[in-house]
Amino acid sequence: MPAKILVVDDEAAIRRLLRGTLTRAGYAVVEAEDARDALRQAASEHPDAVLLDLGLPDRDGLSIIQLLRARDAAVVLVVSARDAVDEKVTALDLGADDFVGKPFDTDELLARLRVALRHRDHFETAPKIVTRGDLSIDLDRRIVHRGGAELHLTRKEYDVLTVLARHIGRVVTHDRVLAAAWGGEEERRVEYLRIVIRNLRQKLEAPEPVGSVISNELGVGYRLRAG
Amino acid sequence: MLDEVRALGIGGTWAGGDRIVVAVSELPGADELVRAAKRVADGLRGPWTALFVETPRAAGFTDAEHARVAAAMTLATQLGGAVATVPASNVVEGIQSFLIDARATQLVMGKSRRSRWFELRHGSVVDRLIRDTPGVTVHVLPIEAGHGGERRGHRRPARWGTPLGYTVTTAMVAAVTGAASALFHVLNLGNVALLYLLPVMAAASLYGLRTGLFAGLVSSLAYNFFFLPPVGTLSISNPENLVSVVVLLGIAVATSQLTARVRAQADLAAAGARTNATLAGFLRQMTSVGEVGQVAQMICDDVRRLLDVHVVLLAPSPGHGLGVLAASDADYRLDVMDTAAATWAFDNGHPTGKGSGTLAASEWLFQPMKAGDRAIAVLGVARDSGRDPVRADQLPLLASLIDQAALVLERLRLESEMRDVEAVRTRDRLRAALLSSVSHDLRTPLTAVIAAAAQLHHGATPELIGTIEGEAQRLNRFVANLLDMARVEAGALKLSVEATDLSDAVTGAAHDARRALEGHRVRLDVPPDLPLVRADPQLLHHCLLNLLDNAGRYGDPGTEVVVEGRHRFGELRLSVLDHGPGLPPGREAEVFETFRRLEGSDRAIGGTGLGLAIVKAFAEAMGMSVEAANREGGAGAAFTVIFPARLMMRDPAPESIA
Repeated sequence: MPAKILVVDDEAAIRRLLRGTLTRAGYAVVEAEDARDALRQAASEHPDAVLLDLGLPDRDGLSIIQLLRARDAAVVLVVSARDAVDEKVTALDLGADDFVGKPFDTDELLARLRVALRHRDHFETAPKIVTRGDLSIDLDRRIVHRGGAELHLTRKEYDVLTVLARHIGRVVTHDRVLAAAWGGEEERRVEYLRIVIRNLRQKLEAPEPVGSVISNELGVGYRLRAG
Repeated sequence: MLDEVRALGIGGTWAGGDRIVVAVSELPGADELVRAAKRVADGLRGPWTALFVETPRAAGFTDAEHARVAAAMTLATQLGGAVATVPASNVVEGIQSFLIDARATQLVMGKSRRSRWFELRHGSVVDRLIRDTPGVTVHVLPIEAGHGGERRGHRRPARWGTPLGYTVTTAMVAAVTGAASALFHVLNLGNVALLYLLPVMAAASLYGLRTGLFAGLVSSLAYNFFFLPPVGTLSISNPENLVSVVVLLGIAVATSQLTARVRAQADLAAAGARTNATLAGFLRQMTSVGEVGQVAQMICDDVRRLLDVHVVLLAPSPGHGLGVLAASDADYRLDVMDTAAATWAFDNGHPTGKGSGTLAASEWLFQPMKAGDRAIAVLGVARDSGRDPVRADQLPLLASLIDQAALVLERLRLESEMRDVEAVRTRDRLRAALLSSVSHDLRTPLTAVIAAAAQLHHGATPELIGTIEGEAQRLNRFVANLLDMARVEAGALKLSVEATDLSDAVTGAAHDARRALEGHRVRLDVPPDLPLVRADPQLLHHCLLNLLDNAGRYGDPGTEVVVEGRHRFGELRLSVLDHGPGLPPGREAEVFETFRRLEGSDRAIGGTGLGLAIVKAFAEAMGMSVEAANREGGAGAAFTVIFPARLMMRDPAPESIA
């Protein structure tokens, strides 16, 4: 049975476009044009994922993220023209799985959706070993291989890579990464994280260009690319 | 014209249209005179002046008299007349000299109803003026006489002279007596009498009437006792000698009167000069300042210094009624009553508060500061003791200060209005340029998209799809820039600065600008060991997007676009380099000006219009600077964002990241 996606957007043109795109990609689609409608549809249709626009006519999209998450643990992808960084962080903190800016790249939207759904499916049975290209990260044994050779990572590098790997394909906010790797320490500063990421990239990416494995979301956080 | 006439030395009343002068006196009814003069002036359509002749008598004015003169002069100003005060020894002379100076043709004056006897004694000012001022029409209005007794009753106590004066006088008389006794064998009696003139004149001129009379009396007694036969008694045998005594006394009276008058006039002139110097200094000081708050503070401080009172200056603030603009002391207090009085003064243009006729319960005296017919501010003065804030004889000075201050405030207000108008004009110009930019930059890609979409009906080709995608991206970029510019213009840039890795920033920008850079090779040369910088990641991203977009647009097709980060001489330079025509030499910096492309002669050269202006605005908001230059060798343009040392971060301690 195909995954069911709820598209929440007040613009009929966007809904039509998304319906076409998602249907072609093999999903089942239901639509809602405002927050009230969205909550009703979520209750009756039990979607697997919600593509949520923030600028809804009746109430702010941010305010219904938690309500949507509470039902059936549907994944929520925010699709919004708002590009304020703090709103993105707020959406993630409220439980959104990811966000995509408008205007969006259709392929990228589908890729993010795939990642979010896969993560949901494997929520109960999180993999012990995360693999990506020539990289494999053994979360239990704290060992990282690249192209068959074991990489030597510092403790902080390993902590950062682990939290990104657990959410592979999804953005993890600075705060969450800092909490995971510097949690017990008084000083939690973004500049430490920057340097650790810089060192990690040298070990994981070179000679590929910067950002090919760990990408940066402006002002929000980092993402371990799904591949 | 007046100056010219004066320069040519043409005397007399020389009529070039009517000029009206109204002579204001300290008597009640002065304001009636002023109103009458205004009516005459209106009828004749001539300029008019209210004149006060400051005679030595003015020193003995009561407070009420001072106030009447000040009120009449203020009224004249309010009715549109000029005012003048001239010092003179008597009213007739003063009026005459002013009439000649001002080339007046009409004189309005009052005639008090005084007794025939008084006029017989003093002569009538009106009669003398009419007789001695040919060519001037004199309007005479009857006014109420001041009660002679009232004035005398309020006169300052007569000067009885100082003990020192009497001592010196006595000593002088004694000295003359001694000298005359010693020389008596060579002098006759008449010469001795002449010698006694010396102490009398000296005493009268130095110490005034009473001491002079005293000198005359003592001299005549000494003369009588020591020299007039029978010597040693106070009896006079020869009636001729009686004349000598009377002459001595007479000279004492005459000399002292003369000296007293001269001195009084000198005092008046000195006081006038002081006032003028004060006003000139006040004005000079204030014209050197260009900011309202500062001027207001200076007004308060100066008025406090000159009149020794507490001063507040209130001015209307938009939407809030009157507010305190400045005060001479930080701990002034204005209660509800004071505020009401100030507001009344502002609204009605009349003084209110203590010492005025309105809302006198307030501790403060509020005077409106007027420019033209409109009050622009209110000046309040008060004294600690609860007395009237301003002595009546200080009122003219205060009125002058307020007039001058009002002029200065009005000038500042007009200047700021001019600036506002100029700003609005600039904004309108920008808005017009923006509109034309919007219509061009939005319509061009839209046209392409619509045309390509129409073509799709005949079947999709990769070119058509590419066109639609590319032009839509251009639109997207332009809309983002419009939003950015709107934020800059609205002053609503909210910085969210964090430690930023430039290799992240450059990679992200190059990724997002990939379509604009299609057809170019892109080389990112940002060493991984550059220090982190403090920046707003979003704003920096938009800066880089615009620079890359610019390079993609103006770099020759197929050439390389390089992003280069360099750390040297204590600053960090991030440059975007292209291969292309470059910038017009000498005009490199202009490309960052808003709408430069539109205003410049060459549309193609100036850059992306909005884009580079945004680069500059954002970079400067974050504390960076921008630079545009041609590459060495002239093979293209180089745009550089420069991070000063203070935006660079030191590497964290190794244990923090281990």
